[in-house]
Amino acid sequence: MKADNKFPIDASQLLFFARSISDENPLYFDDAFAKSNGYKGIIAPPTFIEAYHQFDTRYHLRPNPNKQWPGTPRKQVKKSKPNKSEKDSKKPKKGTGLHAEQHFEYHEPVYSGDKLYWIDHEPRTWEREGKKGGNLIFTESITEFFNQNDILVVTAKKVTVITEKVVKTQDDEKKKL
Amino acid sequence: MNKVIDNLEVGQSFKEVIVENLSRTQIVQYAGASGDFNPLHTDEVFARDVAGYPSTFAHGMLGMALTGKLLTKLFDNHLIKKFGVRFQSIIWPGDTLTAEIIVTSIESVDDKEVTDVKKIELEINTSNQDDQVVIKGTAIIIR
Repeated sequence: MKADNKFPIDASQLLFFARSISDENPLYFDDAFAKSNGYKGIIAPPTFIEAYHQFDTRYHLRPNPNKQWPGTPRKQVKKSKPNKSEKDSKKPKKGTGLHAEQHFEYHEPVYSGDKLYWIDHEPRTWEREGKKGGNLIFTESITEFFNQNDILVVTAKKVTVITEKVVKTQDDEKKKL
Repeated sequence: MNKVIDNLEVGQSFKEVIVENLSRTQIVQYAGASGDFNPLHTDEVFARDVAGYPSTFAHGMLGMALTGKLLTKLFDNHLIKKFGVRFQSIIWPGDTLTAEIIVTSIESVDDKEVTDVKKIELEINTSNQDDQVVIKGTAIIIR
């Protein structure tokens, strides 16, 4: 399990992640600054650990040359024009998975240069009937991240919910939770 | 670093704009950095014509990460012991988000070896330009 789930942390990943969240805190890219603030080196932002998906060989939410990706062909671009009023439309949505909750517990800092690995716990699943009909299927997944010294650094808990039936809008669906 | 931690009181709150006019490009930038390329976040035509949404929208985790900026501005990273959120509403391109952090409890958790250790509990709300809460969360700081 340890060998399969390797998550090496390097400085460029941390810089690109910090940029993507428009965070200019030098702790995430300036080694000397981080050291002068009591850290061993460049550290990861608090939610960075979610980027472990980059190293998850089974992860389905990135294009993979051996699998079909639900991209859209050029001809479809011509089909419809964006309509400002659509944002408020009550057009039915297909049942989709939603990220409902995310919790992190921090045990030790994550540093550039760390060689993390992770362990997934068996997910817990339960169902509840939505107020507008259709079951809501919840899944809680806990992942523990360890460093190269086998020290637990972060525990992540994710709750996702899948709606069985078409819902009016995702916001309406969320209100039921 | 100069952080607020020494002068905190229960009820005190801190508020800051964490992103203005969120761009589709930043959502794609986050997809690249996080590894989550879900077409609902990265492919406008898919999100609109295939999935039936008004447009692409942000990863909930991007909202959490943006919210985390205010947390780490107020408290040194290594003092943050827990940070958790519920995603309440979708974050859309063009949204301007404001995070608010409220101190809900401060208690001493001294033990035999270390004194003057405090556990600070925080409530976190991130809202959009229409005052709709998009993220509700909590955090625990130990110093």
